[in-house]
Amino acid sequence: MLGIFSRILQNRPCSSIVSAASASGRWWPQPEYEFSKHRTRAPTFGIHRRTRLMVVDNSTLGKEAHASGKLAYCIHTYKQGKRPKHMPKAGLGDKILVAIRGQMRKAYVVGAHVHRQMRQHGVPSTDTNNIVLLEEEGNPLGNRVMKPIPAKLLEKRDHAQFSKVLALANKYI
Amino acid sequence: MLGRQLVKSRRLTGTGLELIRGACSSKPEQANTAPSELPKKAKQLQHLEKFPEIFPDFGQSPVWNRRVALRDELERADMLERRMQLDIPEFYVGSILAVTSADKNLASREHRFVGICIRREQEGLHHRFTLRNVVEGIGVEIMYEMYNPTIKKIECLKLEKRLDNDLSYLIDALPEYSTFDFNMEGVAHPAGTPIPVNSLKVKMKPAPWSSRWEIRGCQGIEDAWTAQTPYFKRKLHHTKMNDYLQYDLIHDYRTGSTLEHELKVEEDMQKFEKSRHEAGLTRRRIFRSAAVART
Repeated sequence: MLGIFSRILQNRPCSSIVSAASASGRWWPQPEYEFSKHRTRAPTFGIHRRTRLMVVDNSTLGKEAHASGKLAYCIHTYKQGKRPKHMPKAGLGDKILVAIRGQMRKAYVVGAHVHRQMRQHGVPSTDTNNIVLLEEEGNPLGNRVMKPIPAKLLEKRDHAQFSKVLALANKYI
Repeated sequence: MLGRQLVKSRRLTGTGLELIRGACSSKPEQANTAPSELPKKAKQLQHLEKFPEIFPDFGQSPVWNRRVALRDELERADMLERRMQLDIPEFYVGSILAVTSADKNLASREHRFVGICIRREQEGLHHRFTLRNVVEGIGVEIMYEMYNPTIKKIECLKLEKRLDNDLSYLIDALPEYSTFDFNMEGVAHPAGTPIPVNSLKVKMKPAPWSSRWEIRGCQGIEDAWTAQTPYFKRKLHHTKMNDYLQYDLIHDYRTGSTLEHELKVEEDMQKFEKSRHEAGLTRRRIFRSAAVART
């Protein structure tokens, strides 16, 4: 059995195809690319479990996450309503729990990428999903919000926790 | 588009008179033999050749069953009234616009956004356009409903067209192609000159992208096929836009605009404008096309 395989492998013209074939375990040539074909779940709108997020404040935790290449990802959304095996989706201004650098942190969503069918008049949709990290007491972890945030978030200025985040922002889209 | 051109040329030349006369092949003796009034009416109204491109909101829904005559008529009346209050300039996908809308949360009570128009959707009162800009490294897209009363001002800073009617691929293009200065000054377009077409081909960011742009037939992307990952080329489809689609007359008829409808809308517009001018409510020309210098 093993002898047959080694003979087939010896007929390979290119060594890179040999290595690719053996890496996947199949004996026929495999295309060379590095992106995974596998999805953990079907793609869906909104911010949900495993959605990767960019941190837009000047906290050291956020900077380290970006530098290491392992972005913060959502693990829970603090929102009403769920159905079995489905968490409600987070949008602009919602609070979520993220996993970042091996620890769990709460964060506010300050920029959401919205599907074109779900867009509302005047509400900006950012290309990346942006968050501002919070510490245990609920105060923002950083001192400033580096990127512009949508002006729609100003509707929440009466909210005790969120107003602290708005105080750090200096530019509104 | 070619299907529409074929039908139009038949209307206005003499060779396909059967179509104009509404000839009925099953009962030819009952066919209406009088020539169509449309070409005469078109000349009288100074019909704009590219009416569906200039006023896409006054078109009919591309879905046949959603074309409701009464609702469309009432919506168009509301649209004309709104255009009395707000000056909506002519613009196309690829033009740079500045939209000032009312915002109760901001200190200045106004929210101004400058961006390139990437798409225009829907007909009637729900017509909407999306502006895109990259602000401090963040790509932002804002959808505006054209007839929303919270819009205070729409200015067209740069009037131009692009190779595509839908620039959604700019999300996956390099950010420099979507960056526009908020303080840029408007470039006036001399009336009567044709709309310039910017034949820019954008370079894309490395794949993966949010959509398979390489098979969507986007003319404005530079070599999307090569830039895409090998996974999407395993079946070797180069395009979903097949050549025969341009000859689909039935699709053209069902989704496109007819000359009769265009003339009706133009007539309504001109009557409206005339009545408002005579009543002394306004002196400005409400409906004007930048490409046509009217006397």
